[in-house]
Amino acid sequence: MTERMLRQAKRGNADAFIALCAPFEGMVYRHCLQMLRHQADAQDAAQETMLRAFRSFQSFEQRSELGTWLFRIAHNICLDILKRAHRRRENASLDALHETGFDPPACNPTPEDEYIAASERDVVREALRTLPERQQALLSLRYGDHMSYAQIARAMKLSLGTVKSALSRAREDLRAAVQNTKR
Amino acid sequence: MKKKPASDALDRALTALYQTDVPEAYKASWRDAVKREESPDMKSTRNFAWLRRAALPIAAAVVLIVGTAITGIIAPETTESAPTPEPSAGYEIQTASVYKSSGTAEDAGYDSAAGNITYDESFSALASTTSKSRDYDDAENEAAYDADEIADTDTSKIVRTVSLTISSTIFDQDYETILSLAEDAGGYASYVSMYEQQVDKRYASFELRIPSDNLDGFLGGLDGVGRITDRYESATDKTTQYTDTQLRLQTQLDKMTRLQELLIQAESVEDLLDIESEIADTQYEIDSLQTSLNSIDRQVDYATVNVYLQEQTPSDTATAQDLTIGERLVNGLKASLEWLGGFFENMLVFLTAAAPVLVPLIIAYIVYRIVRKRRKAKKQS
Repeated sequence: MTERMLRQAKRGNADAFIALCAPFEGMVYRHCLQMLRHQADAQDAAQETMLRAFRSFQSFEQRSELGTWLFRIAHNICLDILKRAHRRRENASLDALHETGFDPPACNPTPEDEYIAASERDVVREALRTLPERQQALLSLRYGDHMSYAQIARAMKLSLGTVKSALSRAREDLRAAVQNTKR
Repeated sequence: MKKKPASDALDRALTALYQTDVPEAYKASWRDAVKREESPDMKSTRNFAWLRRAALPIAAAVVLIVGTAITGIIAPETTESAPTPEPSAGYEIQTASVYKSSGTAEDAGYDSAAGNITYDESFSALASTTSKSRDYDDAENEAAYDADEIADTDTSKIVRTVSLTISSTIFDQDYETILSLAEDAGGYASYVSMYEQQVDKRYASFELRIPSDNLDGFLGGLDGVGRITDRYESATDKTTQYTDTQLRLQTQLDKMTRLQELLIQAESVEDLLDIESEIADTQYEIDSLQTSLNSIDRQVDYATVNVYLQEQTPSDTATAQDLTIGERLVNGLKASLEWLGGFFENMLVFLTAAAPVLVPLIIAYIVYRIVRKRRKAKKQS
């Protein structure tokens, strides 16, 4: 993320904005999908996130990382959608999520796989929601986009050490949140 | 991006949780939506944004520099001057050329106090010219060459013309010296002009008439004025022309004597009228020949010296070969500082002169920027 691209994006240059935000498109989409549990709605919400970010990019003051900022916008948009379509949220079921291909592959299930595949997946999802946005964004980039630490550091404009420690902390927090959720 | 194996159950759970392919349709659609959202202004000016930002400062700089340059060019006025300069009064010297078609230099009576100048228009009547042009330094000792030998003969009618180019660092003083040397030599200035081509770069042109007997002394005196960079001398032998004219004049005089004798002896009115007519024609011829002789005498008696005096600025001296490196550096620096000072002086004059136009333009631009900023903020909100 160069300062020049940031300046251009703030002036409304679409190409610069796309170059800056492309690394986070998967993270945004996955977060929308987790919240809305509907593929089409998630696509719309993710697209709306990007558009809203583009329109208000001038107000992005770099106090937070771009990924966290996008994550927050996506989160708010999803909340608005859920509020407006409360019924859809209520009707959203695990079956609908399965339609999106959200289930993990069920090959050679081990005891651990079975543990996750059954009820624990929902537990982990619920535990994730209790984490701060920044941690959710980092975990999404790491486990969803399979980015290396260095790639995450570049995308989030963080140091490599910060990324490693932040992800480690996120995993510990998630582990604790899962335990709390189980109880 | 390669998938990393989950290190423990939690990692595997997260991997499984996020194991969702991002739809290509979404990837393309949000990009298209953002590009559609991009303002037309931004699209058209994206590649020329730097040019738009730089245009105003560049335009302002160009206006400032051109305006300053124009101010510097139009400031000095070219003037043609009379022979007596008033250094303290600048260059507003009135032209005072008096043309006289006949008469000797003494008759013309150059009056330096009154500022009158005489101009001998017969000066250009050169029949046969022997001339040499060479660099002064190389030919100094040979410059007086044949003319002196010819002039030694009493009967010789030699018209001498000298042209000099002099560079001067003390222009006003040398200007005065040239005129005073001419006066001391018994000569006069038939034409003088002075003009300023640029700041501290003045030129003066003199046409001096110097008695031939004092010419060498006058030229010797000029050696102390500035630095002679070019010298040209010519000597025109008009002896033959003069002798021929003398013979024709004598013939006409003899003819006149005979006609007068015939006039006394005339018996009829008709003869009387014919002889008188012939006498009138002869008299006219005698007058014309006498005038020619007088003209040659005047040219012989008074040599013509054309002096071209040019002011030498420090930047000129910086390139002179006869200066030390230290002097050249100092002169060069001095010239730069003088130029810089003149430039800012001209800029100040230009800005002051252009203030009635520039101030409203600047105010209008500031108002435009404020309005534009407010509109933009309103649109975004």
